[in-house]
Amino acid sequence: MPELWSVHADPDACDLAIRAPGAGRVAPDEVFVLGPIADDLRRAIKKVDPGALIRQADDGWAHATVPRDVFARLSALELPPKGYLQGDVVGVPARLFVDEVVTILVPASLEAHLRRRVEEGTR
Amino acid sequence: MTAGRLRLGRKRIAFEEGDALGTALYRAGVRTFSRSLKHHRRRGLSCGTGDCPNCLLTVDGVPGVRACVTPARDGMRVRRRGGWPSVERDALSVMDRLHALTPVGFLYKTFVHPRWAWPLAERAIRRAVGLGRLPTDGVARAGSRHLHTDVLVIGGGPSGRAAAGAAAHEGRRVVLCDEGEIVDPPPGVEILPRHAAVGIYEGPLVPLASEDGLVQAHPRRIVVATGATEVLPVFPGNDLPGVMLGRCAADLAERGAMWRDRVVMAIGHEEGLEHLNAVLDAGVRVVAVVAPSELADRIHGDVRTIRDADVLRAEGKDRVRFAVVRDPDGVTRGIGCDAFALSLGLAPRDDLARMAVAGDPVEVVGDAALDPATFVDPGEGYVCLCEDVGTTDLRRAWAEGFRSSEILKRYTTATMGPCQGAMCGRHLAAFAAARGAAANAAARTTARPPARGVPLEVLAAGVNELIEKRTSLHELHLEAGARLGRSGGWLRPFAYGDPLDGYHAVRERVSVMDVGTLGKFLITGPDATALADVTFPTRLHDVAPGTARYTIALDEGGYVVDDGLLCSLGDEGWYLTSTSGGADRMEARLRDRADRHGLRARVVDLTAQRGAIVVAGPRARELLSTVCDDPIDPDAFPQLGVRELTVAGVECGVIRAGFLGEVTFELHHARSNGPELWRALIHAGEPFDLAPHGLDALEVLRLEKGHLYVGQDTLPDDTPAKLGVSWAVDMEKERFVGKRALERLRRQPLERRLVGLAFHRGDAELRGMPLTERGAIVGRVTSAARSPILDRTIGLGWVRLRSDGSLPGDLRAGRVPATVAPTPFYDPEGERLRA
Repeated sequence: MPELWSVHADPDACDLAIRAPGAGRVAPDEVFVLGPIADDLRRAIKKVDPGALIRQADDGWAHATVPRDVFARLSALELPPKGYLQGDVVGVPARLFVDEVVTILVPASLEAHLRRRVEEGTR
Repeated sequence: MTAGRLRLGRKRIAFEEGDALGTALYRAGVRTFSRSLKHHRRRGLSCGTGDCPNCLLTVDGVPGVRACVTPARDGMRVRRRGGWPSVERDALSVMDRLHALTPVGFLYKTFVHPRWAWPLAERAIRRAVGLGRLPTDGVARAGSRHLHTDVLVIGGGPSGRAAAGAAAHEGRRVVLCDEGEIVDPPPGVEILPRHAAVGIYEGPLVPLASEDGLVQAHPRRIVVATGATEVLPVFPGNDLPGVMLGRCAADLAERGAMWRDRVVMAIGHEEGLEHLNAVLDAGVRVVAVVAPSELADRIHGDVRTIRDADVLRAEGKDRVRFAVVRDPDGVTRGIGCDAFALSLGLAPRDDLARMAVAGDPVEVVGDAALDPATFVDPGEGYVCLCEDVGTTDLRRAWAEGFRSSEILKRYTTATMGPCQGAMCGRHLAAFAAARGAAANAAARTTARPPARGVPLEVLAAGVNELIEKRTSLHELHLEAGARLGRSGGWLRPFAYGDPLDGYHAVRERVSVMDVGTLGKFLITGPDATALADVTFPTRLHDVAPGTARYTIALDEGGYVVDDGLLCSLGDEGWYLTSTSGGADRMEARLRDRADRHGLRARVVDLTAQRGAIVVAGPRARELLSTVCDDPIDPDAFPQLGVRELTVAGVECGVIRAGFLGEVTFELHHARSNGPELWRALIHAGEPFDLAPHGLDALEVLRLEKGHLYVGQDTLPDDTPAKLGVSWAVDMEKERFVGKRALERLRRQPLERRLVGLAFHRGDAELRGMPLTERGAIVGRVTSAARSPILDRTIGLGWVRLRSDGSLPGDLRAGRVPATVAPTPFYDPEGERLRA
């Protein structure tokens, strides 16, 4: 499981947080990061919004990495060449990091569902 | 050259390379491909393009296969549909002589009385009609995938290929699909042969059905290049085997399948001339051609040509024997033949284009954009081959007052068969127009998906089954032999063996339960308290850090939509729990409220990140003491206290609360620590004879305390007063969601209330039963259970109040007497809870 962080902060602070490698904007006041957040970036976020909440979120998510053609069997979402998006995947809300492959993150309670549907999509 | 053999019943039939199934059967002498739906008339190859219903066969157990466009395959097992005992010798063909007894609409008028007759009639009708039997051996599952493209071109003919090539040349991503093969596709185009477009939906979304499953195409632009169908004119005998359209005849001739036929052709347009030439070039014996003078002049070869004649009828018993025409001199001629080919005009195959709504990026090209041939009032004959609807039926329906194409369709079922009106839709409109119907009443009927027949497994492809959430303890529950079931979108244990074991453990010793399904939220930020205060009706200003308070959640109408606990974390904000099924809506509710009031508050949904385990029972504290060094005595940790504790090495946020009626601790922990904590508690509980409990025991335990479940015990318009939880509302607060509505509702008399119920007998099956008072329904049982400790059946239910506000008496749930009883039923003073 990759390291996951979520930043809950004012939009101005989130504008900084989105600069973290592997970051995606979930909402104006929330950024989701696949990977670590550098200390200096944390300090910068806190400087803009002292009340910013930077939480490790590994526990709440299950993930699967699939090729793009398999992803087309799991979701109607149109994939960009690269980047972050969120939406309905295998019938549940998901967060996606897109590159040559697609990393799908769903709430951990849906891990079994994700595994089964990815397995079916891969067949 | 024989390429393989297939089986039609017991008969082995050879086919040649490139043959369609229909061609192979025709070459082998098969003329009757099916029996018609109602009248059991013989039907043979007609369109040759997959548009009509005549050649639908059952192939390898799969019904509804269009023989004219399905490639023949070695070893195919083919069955014809309809007909009893067989298609060739069909005893039910007597129906063809009984039209007078089964006129249009007779199903609506007969079998109404006596009522018992309908099921019998329905069974008989079902046996006599239909397109085949669905396979019952195993469940086929088709796959589904999504496809995004700039341009989707539907139809791989010349127009479609040209449109696809042009779009690709512009640098667009282009997908070209066709229900058949695609020959010579343009470069730079992705092709999907054998993919039939089913419809055009909002989006736009175009589902493409194929043998491999479903492709859900999401194009930015759609080009409809589906071509045109040939018009089947209406005349007596137009449905006889051997009466076929020009394309079908040309194809059969080119493939050498008409080698023994004498053919009469009637042509009326340019394409008809091409078909005639194809038939002649194939060496087929054409005994006569009926053509208008302008085409007749261009007919080559030594062919008998009858100029400007009208087609009157086709005659024959089991197949066409004579084509009867009348020339301009009024002379009627019957020409002996084995096939009567008609190529009299085209009608655009525009169903898909007509499914698009204004604003959809849909372009229609080629023959699909043609002006249709002129359709006139149909003469005698079959209008709708799929549903066996003739002109006589239409006239009768018209006389009965069904005077527009749309209601003619509904009454006669014309256009409602497998061809979906492709062959008959325009005839229907022309029929209405010829009788003076206004333009809108004589319009084509609405085009709806599916434009083509779709196998059920393809129709279901991509449809998700039940989605079940699981807690981190799922595997442990399975190991413990739990009986799992769905609740609030989660898969949860209902019992581990006998539910009473868990129940007695709670009441007498100690028990644990997985409540990781609860909604769990962190509300933080400078305006966290303001957000909680405006969202919930509960008084919050006196909730001290380290304590919790029960809260309900209201909507703007003042109706109860959820409940839970608000735990004060001091400067860090609030920790909120909600019902398991309400978590998603709770987050949306909080975020919406923060946005609306411009509050700087963060709402973090921890439902999936945090697990929770309840430890409950008179010995719960003793158990926890063995795995926790922190003080948990009643003074250090009173009821509704909130503490950070380390339990069995796991950091937990612990809430002393619960609605079981005993000392209860909720241990909220990181999800990944759940299994470790659960095992430790089970192990530590062994000396206390711990037994876990599930939802079955919980139902009894909470009912004994008279606690309601939001959703199960509530109705959508239940206010706090109706539920008896007005104590959880602080009307002195300046504002909260639903306050205005409650102020208004307070001035109105209460019409019903949720009350405790005691039953004289019965069990959980009383749930859902109406409550009656002297035969009149005055309420409903929302929950019921047999209480072991009270040795009686108890429950909750709503009852309508009398006009003076009093509760009804002499209640019955079915035949079981019931009385309104005060709650809690168990430990009304709450001494055990606060122990």
